[in-house]
Amino acid sequence: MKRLSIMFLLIILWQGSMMFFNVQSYVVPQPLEISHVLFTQKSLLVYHSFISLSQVFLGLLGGIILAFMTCIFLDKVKQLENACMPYLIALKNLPIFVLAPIFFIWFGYGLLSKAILITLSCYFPMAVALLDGLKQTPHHAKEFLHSTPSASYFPSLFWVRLPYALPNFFTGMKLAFLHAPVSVIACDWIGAHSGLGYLLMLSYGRMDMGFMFAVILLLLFYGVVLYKVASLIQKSTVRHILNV
Amino acid sequence: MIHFDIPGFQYPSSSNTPPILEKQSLLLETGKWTALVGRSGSGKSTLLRLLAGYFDMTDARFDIALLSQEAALFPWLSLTKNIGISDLIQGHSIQEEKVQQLLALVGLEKDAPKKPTEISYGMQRRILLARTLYLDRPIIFLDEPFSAVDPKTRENLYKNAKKWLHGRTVLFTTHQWDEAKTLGDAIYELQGSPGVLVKLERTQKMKEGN
Repeated sequence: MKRLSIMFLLIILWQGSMMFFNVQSYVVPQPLEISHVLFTQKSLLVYHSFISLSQVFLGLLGGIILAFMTCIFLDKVKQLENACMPYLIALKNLPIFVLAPIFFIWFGYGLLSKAILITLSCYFPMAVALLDGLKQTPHHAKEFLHSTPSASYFPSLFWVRLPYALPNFFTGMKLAFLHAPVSVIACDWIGAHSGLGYLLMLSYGRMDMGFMFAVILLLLFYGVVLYKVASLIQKSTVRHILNV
Repeated sequence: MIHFDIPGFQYPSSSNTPPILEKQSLLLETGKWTALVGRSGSGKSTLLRLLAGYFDMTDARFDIALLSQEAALFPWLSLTKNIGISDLIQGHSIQEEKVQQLLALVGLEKDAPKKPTEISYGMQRRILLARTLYLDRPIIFLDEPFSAVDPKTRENLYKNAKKWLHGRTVLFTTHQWDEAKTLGDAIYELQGSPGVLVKLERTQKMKEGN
């Protein structure tokens, strides 16, 4: 309730100061103008939101799967972890703006290349967090695993080590959920025929400030929703599955 | 009799400090309880871990089950799965009947589906004991098994522990002389620095106290 009140207060302040100082809508649009765009262009916005959110969803899913696969591999072949870390860091330091044109040439401007790019941008925070988490097995659990003859790697991982690693992983996952919408916009700017970033570029070309602000507001909203979803997954897993 | 050679011990990270344990040997009578007493920090837990091969894990002895003070249950698993975890991590299914028998033995058969956070600390220690017994090893090491339970529960545990661990060779540590006398068929005290094992008679008192 408090949050909603703050939002309404900000909107009233915004609208009031626009009217009081007589700011032109091509400089900063009025909240009423933005809400008009949101209402009249809703089918267009919903369509492009759906495209962007599908890319986010696929990218996150790809990032999670890739993070688990590589981390488990690096954990199993421990000697490789140190050897591979510099490459992972190098990959992280390559901005999406650099990689995007290459992927667009390889896979076209469609869903596939964007899903791969978002996967890569989400992968790193989750992989680092999970690798770190797999080192968080408490001493007593390690001792128990070592003292059990013929304890196998995957059952030990599933029943004991992974649950201890999950809280760490979720921290990385929340960061990835925050990164994902930004990455989608970056991809759209470099080359796209659809998506919220494409709409943003289109309205920029037309100097349509009302439309730009409407898209930005939607992006903010999706960002908060994604973060909340990540927090919800984290909380319910920690409370109901890990029981800690 | 079970014979252990103790090679002496010094923590690898503290080469400037004197060794914790002297080179010596220890005899445990098969099927009996041996108490290991000594003041706090005398090296009792270190000795148990050393004998069980816990310092060099490639050397872990699979005829010994050690229940350490730090041992804890896995909170995401039911009590049944916690007891049978050694089978799960080998990729086998749990021996349900054996778990039921162990739960009945420690008096918690009705709590099988519960999670560790739903039961008291004393009950958790009993489940840990059941987990240790599930391993079916002839030698059981218990590190201060009854230190964190209230006196009334402790009395009860003394009575039951003998029943639960019947037929096993048990080496347990305690810093309470009464506990050593009540449960131990033989009593050793870890004296001095580096620690040396001295066999005590039941009529004697601990030399260094707590």
